[in-house]
Amino acid sequence: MDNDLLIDVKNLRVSFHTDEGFITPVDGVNYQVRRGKTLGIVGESGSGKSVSTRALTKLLPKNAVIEPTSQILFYQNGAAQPLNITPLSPNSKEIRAIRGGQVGMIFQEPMASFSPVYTVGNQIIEAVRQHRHAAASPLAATATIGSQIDESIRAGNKKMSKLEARDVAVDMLERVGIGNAGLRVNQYPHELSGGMRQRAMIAVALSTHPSVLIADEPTTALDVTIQAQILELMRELQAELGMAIIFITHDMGVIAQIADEVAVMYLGAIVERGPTRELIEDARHPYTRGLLAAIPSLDRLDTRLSSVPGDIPSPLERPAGCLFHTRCPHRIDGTCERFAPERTEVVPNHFVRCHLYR
Amino acid sequence: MLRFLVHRFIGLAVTMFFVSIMVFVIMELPPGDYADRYAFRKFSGTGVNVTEGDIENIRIQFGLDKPAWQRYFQWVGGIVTRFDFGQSFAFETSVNNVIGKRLWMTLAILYSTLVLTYLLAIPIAIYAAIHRRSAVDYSLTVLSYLGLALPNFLLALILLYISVTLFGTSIGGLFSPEYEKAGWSVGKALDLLQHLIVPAIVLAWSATALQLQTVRATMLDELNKLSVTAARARGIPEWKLLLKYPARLAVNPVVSTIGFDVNRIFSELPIVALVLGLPELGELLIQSYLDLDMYVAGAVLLMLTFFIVVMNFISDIALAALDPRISLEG
Ligand SMILES: Nc1ncnc2c1ncn2[C@@H]1O[C@H](COP(=O)(O)OP(=O)(O)OP(=O)(O)O)[C@@H](O)[C@H]1O
Ligand SMILES: [Mg+2]
Repeated sequence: MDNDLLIDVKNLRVSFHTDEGFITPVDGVNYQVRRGKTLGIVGESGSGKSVSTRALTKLLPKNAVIEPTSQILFYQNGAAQPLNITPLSPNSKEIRAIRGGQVGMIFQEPMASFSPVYTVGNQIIEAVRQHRHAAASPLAATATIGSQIDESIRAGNKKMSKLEARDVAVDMLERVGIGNAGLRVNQYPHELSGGMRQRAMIAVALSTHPSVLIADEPTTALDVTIQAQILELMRELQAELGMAIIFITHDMGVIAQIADEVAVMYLGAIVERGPTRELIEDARHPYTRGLLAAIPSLDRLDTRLSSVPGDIPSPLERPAGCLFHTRCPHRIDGTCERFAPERTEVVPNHFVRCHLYR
Repeated sequence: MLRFLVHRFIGLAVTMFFVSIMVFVIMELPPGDYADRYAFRKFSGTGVNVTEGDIENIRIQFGLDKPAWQRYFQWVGGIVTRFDFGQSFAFETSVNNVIGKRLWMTLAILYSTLVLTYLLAIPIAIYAAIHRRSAVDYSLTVLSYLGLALPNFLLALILLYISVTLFGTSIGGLFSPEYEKAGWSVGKALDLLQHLIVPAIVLAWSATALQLQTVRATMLDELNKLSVTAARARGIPEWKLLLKYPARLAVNPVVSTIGFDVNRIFSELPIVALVLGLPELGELLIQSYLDLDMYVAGAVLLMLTFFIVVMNFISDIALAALDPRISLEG
């Protein structure tokens, strides 16, 4: 039995009712989220990275449907059976407890993630009081991740006081490396710098002790030095708190720095998945290779920066057969445009969907 | 925040100072002066021959021989220290007596119109934006187009007809005759509301239609903000986060246009008041112009602009309270 398994996503399919018709931008996605590990999801814009991870907390627009055959299984502390959240309503108590409580989220735009009319502290305190309960003893206040349940039992489900929550907020801001946290907690988002805002956003997400942190392109909007600092911070916090991270990016270079496992998405499907080192050193799928070739590196400075050639097909016209065949340099005519490739395990834990590896 | 308040308050005082000068200039514009008119009024038809000397005496009696700036300060001083707006020439009594009830009438209509507008527009528009493309949302669009198309006075006539024929309410004035002199009671308050509702609906009509559209549009904008998604991702209950984040900002355009609304109500009020037979300030202003009764005209002008300026002041402060970015920059 896999004790570290937190979330198991099986055959996830998400569709949208749009004015142009019914589209399915996420189709047949499988992945696992494990305690203390980082899953990196890479892919070009529109490949379904955000949709497939927001589905975990049902944080999708009203016109989205998660197909009932999909399974999103949450393995909760102490529970004998995993909880499949697919049939639950997005407004249900269970989902709200998962949002923030078990799964924290940070986004690409740290400025836009905060409401400009409330202080940073206000938004942390709000989250803390929503999910954490008054500490019965000073010991419980320092409880670690995953123990909220015991904590709440001990405290008899009493809501944490504002003052207590404020202490949590200040402590959390300090932990993410914001100096003068006692002052910052009362400041508005526009009074912080870009990098500090993303640190603050991480503080908001982690203040409720989630066991999973979804980071949707958290460094894309930041400049390179700040980006490196934020990645470093996330690594440190993971080592300290032991949460799982789902890290979304379209930058293979960033993925290489932070992920333990990488899933490569193309048009709503995972075309290749494997341990980071293995996948980078021995990429199989032509699309993964294309993405890797797009990383700028010193020994390739003379050659033009290559990216994957060709245009991404519109979600309304998903190609038949292999999704990638319209852009694939190694297309096998007569096969790739007709049959969808099965998932093959090329070496243990390294999966690829490509007719080249049957 | 305190600095911001002081700042805006000084702004208010300065504005009122310039307004009072402008009003005073307007009061001085008609040919002749108060003494001429007083003499004409008092002695015309009596056969008494009024000499220049008599008029000069009247002038001295009223202090009109003094230079304009002295008279300005006397006028303003009277208003500020004693709340005394001078003498009405046409009514031969103090301006305060002439204006009296009309001031309360105007204020009652102004505030009931504003309250009605905001009470209707804000919640309905927010609801419609949250339930986009629902029946409420669609009927709202139709209604607000109607609201913008139908002229006020026409609506006033229709409502007048309906309320007299269907409900038998007497329209005109603030109270029915039986309550006019009575002390305050629940019945009297209800009677007052009954009299206010028709003018308030008429005046609120187009503003509500307009505000519905702006609040709905702002709310839709705010609902799509990442900060709302982020709050949702923290597990905050839906109704709570909708009120705390997008709804708070969706009322901004309403708050920032309070001054315009007051201005518009004052300009539309005389026509509506004429149709509904309400004694209010706008009508008095027009009458005082016709009579060249300049102290009355000045008092009305001053009061109306005062309310516009004060409501603008309130709108500024409310806006700063709603959006802390404002006071920090000011
Ligand atoms: N609200 C929506 N309505 C309709 N279709 C949508 C909506 N949101 C997403 N989609 C569809 O889902 C596809 C995947 O979107 P998603 O946001 O998951 O991409 P992504 O991989 O996160 O891209 P990016 O790197 O740009 O963030 C889009 O191409 C679009 O077709
Ligand atoms: Mg995305």
